[in-house]
Amino acid sequence: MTTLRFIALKLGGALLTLFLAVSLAFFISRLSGDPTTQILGGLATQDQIAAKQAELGLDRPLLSQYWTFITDLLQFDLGRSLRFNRGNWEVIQSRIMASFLLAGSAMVLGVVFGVPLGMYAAAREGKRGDRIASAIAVLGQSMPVFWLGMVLVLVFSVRLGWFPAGQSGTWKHLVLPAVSLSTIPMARVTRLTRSSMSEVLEEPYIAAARARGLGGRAVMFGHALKNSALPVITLIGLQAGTLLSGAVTVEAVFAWPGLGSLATQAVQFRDAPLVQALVIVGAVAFVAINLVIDLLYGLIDPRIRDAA
Amino acid sequence: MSDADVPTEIEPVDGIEGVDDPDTGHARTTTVRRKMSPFEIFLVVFGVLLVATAIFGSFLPLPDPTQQSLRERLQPPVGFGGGWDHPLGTDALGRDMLSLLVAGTRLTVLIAALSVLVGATVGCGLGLIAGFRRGWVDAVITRLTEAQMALPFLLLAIAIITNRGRSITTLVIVLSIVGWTQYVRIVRADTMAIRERPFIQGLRIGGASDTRIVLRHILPNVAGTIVALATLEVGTMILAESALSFLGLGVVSPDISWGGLLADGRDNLRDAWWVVTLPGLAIVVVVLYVNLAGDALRSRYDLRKRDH
Repeated sequence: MTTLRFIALKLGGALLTLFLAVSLAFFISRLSGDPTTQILGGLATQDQIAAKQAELGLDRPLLSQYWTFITDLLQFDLGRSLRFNRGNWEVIQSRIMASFLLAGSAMVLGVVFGVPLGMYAAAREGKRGDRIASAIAVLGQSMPVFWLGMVLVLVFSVRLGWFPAGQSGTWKHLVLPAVSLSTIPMARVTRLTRSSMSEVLEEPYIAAARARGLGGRAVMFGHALKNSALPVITLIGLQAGTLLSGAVTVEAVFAWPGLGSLATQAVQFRDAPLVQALVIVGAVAFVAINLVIDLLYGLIDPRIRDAA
Repeated sequence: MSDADVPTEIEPVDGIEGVDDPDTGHARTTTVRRKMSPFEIFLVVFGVLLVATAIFGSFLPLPDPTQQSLRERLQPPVGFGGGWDHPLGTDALGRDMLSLLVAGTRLTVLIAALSVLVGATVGCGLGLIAGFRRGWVDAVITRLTEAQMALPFLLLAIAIITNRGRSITTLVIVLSIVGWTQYVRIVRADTMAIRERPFIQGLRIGGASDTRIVLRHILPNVAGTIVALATLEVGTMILAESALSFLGLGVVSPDISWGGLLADGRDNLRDAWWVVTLPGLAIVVVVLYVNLAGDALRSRYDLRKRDH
C-alpha cells in the first residue's frame, strides 16, 4: 500500500510540475512578443499581419489562446510546423531518437569517466591527485561544449582524419559529438562524487569496516560507493535538461540530425509553433526522466519511500 | 556588480573565530577571517585586470577592431608564420584578432554581469520570501521554480528569441529568466535555517518588523552564499551567451563578443585554426577564472562547501 501511495504521490507531483512548466513556457513566449512580425519581416502591411495573426490564432485573447493550447496538449496535439507543413510531433518524432542516442552516450561517458575520477579525488583528498582530478573537472565545467567540438574536429578530422567531422550514420560519427557533450555531465559527476564520497568516508561505518581489516579498495567499492551513489543518480536526472541545451550547439557543429539542429532550423524560419512544441517535448523528457529516478530511489531505499 | 569588487570585500585581517559582530551583536559563524593566500591575491588581480580590459580596452594602442583589410585576411599568429603587425593573426575579413578579443571582452562581461544582477535580485527576493513566509507562498514559489527548471534553457531562449527577434536587450532578458532559479533554491534553504535561530526569535519578541528582520538580519547572513553563487553564475551566463551568439541568436556583427567571434570563425575552421581556437580560449580562461573565484568565495563563506 505504501508503495502504491508513494508512486501515486510522485506521479501527481510530476504531472503538476509538467503542467506548470508548459504553462510557464506558454506565457513566457506569448508575453515576450508577437512572432508574426518576425515571420513576415518589417515590410509587411497591417492587413498581412492581421491575416497571419488570425491564421496562428494570435488575435484571440490570451486566456482563450491558453485554453486552446492546454486542451490541444491534453489530446496530444502539438500543432503544425510552419516550415515543414506537417504536424510538429511528426517532425519531432523523426529526430528524437538521434537526440536520445547523442545525449545518452554523452551521459554514459560522463558517468564512466566522472565517477572513478571523483572516487580517486576523494580517496586522495587534499593531495596532488585530488587537485589534478578537481582541476580536470573545473576545466570541463568551464568549456563551451560546441567550442570543444570544433577543436576536436580540427584535431581528429582535419589533421588526423580519424573521425568524420559531421553528419551521422556509423558509430564513428557519434564519437566526437558525444565526447564534446560528455564534458558537461563529467565535470558535474566528478565534483559531486568527490564531495559525496568524502562525506561518506567520514561516517563511522567506514571506520568500522576499516577496523575489521578491510583494505582500501574493498571499503571504497564495497561500502563507500554504494552509499554515495544516491546524490549522483539525482544529478543525472537534473543534468538531462542541461544536456538537451548543450546538444543544441553540439548538433549545430556536427550537423547531427537531432532535436537541437531542428530547433536551430526552426528559429531560422521563425517557426514559432515548432519551437514551442520542442520546448514542451524537452519539458516532458526532463520530468519523465526525473520521475523514473525518483521512483527507482523509493523502490530501492525504503527510508525515502516512508518519508514521502 | 563586477566580479572585481567581490574579492576585495574580504579584508585581510587576522582574527579569532566566533568574534561577535559589533553592529548586531550576533556571533559571526559564517566567516573565518584569515590572511589571503597567494592564490586569492592572484584571483583579485586577475579580476581587476579583466574588468579594466572590459572598460578601458578601447584605449589600448591596438588596431581598430572594425577595420577590415582583405589583403591581410586570415594571417596566422606570431610563431605560426605571422608577423608582429597582427600578433594573434587576422580573421576572414582581415580584422586584427587581438583587437577583436579585447573589444569582445566588454560585451561578454557586461551581458553576463547584467543578467547575473537581474537574475540574482529576482531569485534572492523570491528565495527570501519563500523561506521566511513558508506556507502556501513557499509552495507556490517552489513549484514555479521546479517548473522553470524543467524547461531546457536553450530551447526556452530560442522560443523567446523567435517571438521577439534578436537584440542585446532580449539576450539579457533571456539570460535573466534562465538564471533566477538557482538563487531561489539556495537562499530559501538558508533563510529557513536562519529564521529558526535564537537571535531571530529574540528580534521578534523585541518587536522588529518582518521587513527589518529579513533585510537587516537574514540577508546579511546569506550574503556570502549569494555572492559565491552569483560569481559562479557569471561563468554560466558567459557560456550561455556564447552558445546563443554561436547560433546567431545573441551578439552578431558589427557588435563583438567572444561567442559572436566563434560564430564568425566557424566557416574558416579548416583553413585557419586561430579564428575559432582563440576566442574559445578567451572564454575558457575567463569562465575558469570565475569558477575558481566562486569556489574560493564559497570555501570562505559557506562552511557546508556544497556543490550547487
